[in-house]
Amino acid sequence: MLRLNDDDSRAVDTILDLRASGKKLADREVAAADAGSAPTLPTDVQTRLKTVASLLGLLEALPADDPPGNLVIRTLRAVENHAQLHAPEPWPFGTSPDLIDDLRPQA
Amino acid sequence: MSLSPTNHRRPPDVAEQKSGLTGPPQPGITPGGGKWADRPQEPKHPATPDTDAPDGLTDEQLIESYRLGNKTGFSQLVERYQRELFHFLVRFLGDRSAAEDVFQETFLQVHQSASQFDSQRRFRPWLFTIAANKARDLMRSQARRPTNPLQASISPGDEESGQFIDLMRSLAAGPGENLEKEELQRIVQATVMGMPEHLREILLLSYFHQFPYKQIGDILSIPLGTVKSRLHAAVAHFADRWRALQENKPQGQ
Repeated sequence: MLRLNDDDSRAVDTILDLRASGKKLADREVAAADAGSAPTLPTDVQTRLKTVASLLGLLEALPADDPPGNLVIRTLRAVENHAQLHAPEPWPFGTSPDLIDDLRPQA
Repeated sequence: MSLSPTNHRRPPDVAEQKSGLTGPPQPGITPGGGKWADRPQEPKHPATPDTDAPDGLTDEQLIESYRLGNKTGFSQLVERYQRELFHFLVRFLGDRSAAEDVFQETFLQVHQSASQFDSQRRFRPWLFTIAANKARDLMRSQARRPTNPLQASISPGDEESGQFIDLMRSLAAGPGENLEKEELQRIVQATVMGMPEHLREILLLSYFHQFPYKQIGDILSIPLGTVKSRLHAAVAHFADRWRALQENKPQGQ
């Protein structure tokens, strides 16, 4: 198992924690500066944070195609089919595809 | 119930369902207005843009209403999560068709296990727990795990030992800056898909879906310390493979 050294580990935690909080590295620097505590971090720590952010930023290149347009309908249909097959009693919403009907444009 | 190599707590599979335990919602019951008003609102996670509810209902309220017989709640959840969950699955599985299958299986499981959902907990981590389990099951059943020479020695239990790497020494400044978009996409995808699945999974959950470490621990049923060490290992692995692929790139690219 590959492992990061302690400095890199802290940098990874910082970057991912910022993302989980909906913030960016720049936000932290600005906040620190506004609080009058700049320079907040030694240069090597800032460089390390930027290296980690830059490395993780590569992940943005991962393709993320949108789902097919009918995925929701197919999913609801699969659930309904399963419910109709496995329900101990008749599907309580009737025989029409109720879940799917919800997604159809209203007249 | 222990159903995975890491003792993941998860809803029962289809075959494990007992008749009547988690059937479809009962008819004739709709969510009462007072019920929602009495319920304390949890602070919304700041990084859940896909789950903003135009109708003001939270995920937890929608699944609760579905349990009470309001089928619209379920449809709304599927619509609400179609993009985010599909993106996770397609990145994790590396296969669009498989991602579609697992997406459907995930919501089928949500339907079946709706009655077991703990309304005091958040829906989103629960949904991702189911999806991740389903995706892992699929990969194992199809032996989809990519081969790489490091994988044989890597398992979820190996968190505490191994070779150290230093990112600042091992990476050139501005990684990826000199690559064309398509080439960058190809190399990053190869790098990610070459990672062991438990490392790829945790990296995607943390980076793209911005789950806090504690919620990742809940999703994967691992302690906080393991979340950290596994994430650090994932980043180290990603960096190491990225560097290796860069070094092995043919000249002129």
